[in-house]
Amino acid sequence: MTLAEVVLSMMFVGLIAYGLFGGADFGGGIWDLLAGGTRRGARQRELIEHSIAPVWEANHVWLIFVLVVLWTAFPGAFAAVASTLYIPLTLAAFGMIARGSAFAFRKSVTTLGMRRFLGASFALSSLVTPFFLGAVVGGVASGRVPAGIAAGNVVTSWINPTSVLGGVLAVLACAYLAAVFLCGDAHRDGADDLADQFRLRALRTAGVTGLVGIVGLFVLRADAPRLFAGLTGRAAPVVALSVVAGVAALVLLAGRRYVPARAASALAVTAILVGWAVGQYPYLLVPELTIEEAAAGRASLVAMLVALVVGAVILVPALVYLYALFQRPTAEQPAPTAATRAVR
Amino acid sequence: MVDAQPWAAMFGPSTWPQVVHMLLAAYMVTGFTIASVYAVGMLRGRRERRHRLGLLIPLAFAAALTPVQVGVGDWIANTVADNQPAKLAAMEGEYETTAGAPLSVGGLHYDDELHYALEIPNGLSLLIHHDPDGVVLGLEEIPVDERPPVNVVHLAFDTMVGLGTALLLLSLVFGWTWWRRRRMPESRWFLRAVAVSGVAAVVAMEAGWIVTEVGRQPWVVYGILRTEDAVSPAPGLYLGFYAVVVIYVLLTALTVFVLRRLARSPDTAAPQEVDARPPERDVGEAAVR
Repeated sequence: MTLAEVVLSMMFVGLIAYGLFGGADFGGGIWDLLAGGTRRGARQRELIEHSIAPVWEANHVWLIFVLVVLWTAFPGAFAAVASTLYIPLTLAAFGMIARGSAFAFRKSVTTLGMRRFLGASFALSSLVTPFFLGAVVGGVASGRVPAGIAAGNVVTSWINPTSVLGGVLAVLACAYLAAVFLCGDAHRDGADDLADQFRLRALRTAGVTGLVGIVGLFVLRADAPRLFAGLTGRAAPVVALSVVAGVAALVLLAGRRYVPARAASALAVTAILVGWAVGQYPYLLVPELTIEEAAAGRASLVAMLVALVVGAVILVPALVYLYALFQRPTAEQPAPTAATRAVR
Repeated sequence: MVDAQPWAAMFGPSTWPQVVHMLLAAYMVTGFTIASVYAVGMLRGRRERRHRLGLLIPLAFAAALTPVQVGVGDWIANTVADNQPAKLAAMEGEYETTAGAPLSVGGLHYDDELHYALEIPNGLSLLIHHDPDGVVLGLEEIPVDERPPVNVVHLAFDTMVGLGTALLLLSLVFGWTWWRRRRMPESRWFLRAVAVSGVAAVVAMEAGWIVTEVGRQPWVVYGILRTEDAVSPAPGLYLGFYAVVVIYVLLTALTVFVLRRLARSPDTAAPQEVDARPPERDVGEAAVR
């Protein structure tokens, strides 16, 4: 493995973490959108809010991490992606701003109209932001981002069959992950009826995702033959692993085994991302720019690596503790009693 | 790809003066801003212990740092004179290279000359070289297409220095009263001055950023990359700019709205504290959801 590949691998670990944690976070917002009317959806919304409130800012640090590594270690690739795909990237950034501020502001207002407006902003931006990010991935994966600043078409690079597929799959994956995670959270809080609702949603979303995935193969064969060849060739074992993990997750969900279902679901999503990486190796931007060509000079890569290792030593234990802390029911606060729940 | 030298780029000659100058500026903004909130409260007649402490602690903090900032300002100006003569000439509105250069305050630059400025003889040479007859390079030494916009930089610089001097005076009055009388000044004029000091500190800091960023033009990387060559050629970028402006105006309005609401009922839970809310409130709020 070359130095550039080591740094790129660490960036890709960050991308996977963003896919899993950020994805579940967006998905929570999507289910908030679909939870139904003010009164009917109140309990689901409360569960979602309870699950993502402690970590929604931490989740999006992964995206910042990916961007910083990309522009430091692979400045040419970053410049090409950021300038050609600036429209979906800007829209995704707007979505994150609207999402974060609406989520925070919603807590501080008490009037129903204002709460509905902010809640809708939060939920709607949770739906569109992963779509734009998936469209970016589709543009890169289908080779529509040539090297050079703004060298690609700023419209067709993200409005094309592969980008639409990427966007739809991203939204579905977010919704699926969130539903699986929320099952476990609801079950732990003793709200098994809620857990069952989200279990059904997870199963249905998985079914739709599977269908879109199968249709997607035909889309890729027609629109991105190189990626299709990579996914069905060198990356075939990884894609197969994703399918197996996905099926296992469904079986576990059907049997209400929520914790192993989480692990299997995470593995399925991870394998799809890794499959994309294996499929287009050794290119960072197909079909022109390889990893080695895109890499910054040795001094920058070494500096990046040192910073990553030092940062990981400080950050990873803190993050693990944060996630572990909020997976535990709080000792001093008992789960909501039947009486207070009935009022809601 | 060019083999960049990240450490050399990060630790250039202006790194330490810039870092220290900005850190002190941030602390001053914090201190004066918090103090100004309590000064307004005291002007409205709330003079109990909480308001007095709320003014005293941040003001003492900011007042102690302000004289230090003056010294750091001298340090950074000397660094600029050594490394970026064009920026210094624009800051001072100095066109001709002069020995014993005067310090010009205010004025407008046109026809290669600064008009209507208040001049302190030999002031600039004294400040830059610590010698009244030192030679200060003027804009005439710089090729025409490498000169920054003089008026913006010079007036922003004067704004920063003027407000900084006013904050220094405020700090001195405060320090002197504390030293001689063992109490803080409480006259209405002093409180009014503290009440505007927060805004003054913010404006001074922003003016400083205008000096350093506009003063570097036309370069985005000094002497290496011009701003016009660095901008993305992608079409339609201005739409994104307008959108950003609209979004930030909306966010600012929302923030002000929410902060005013919180000021009226300060016990509303912050997002992080949602679990700590007492259950009765929870029920009440859930009903309006």
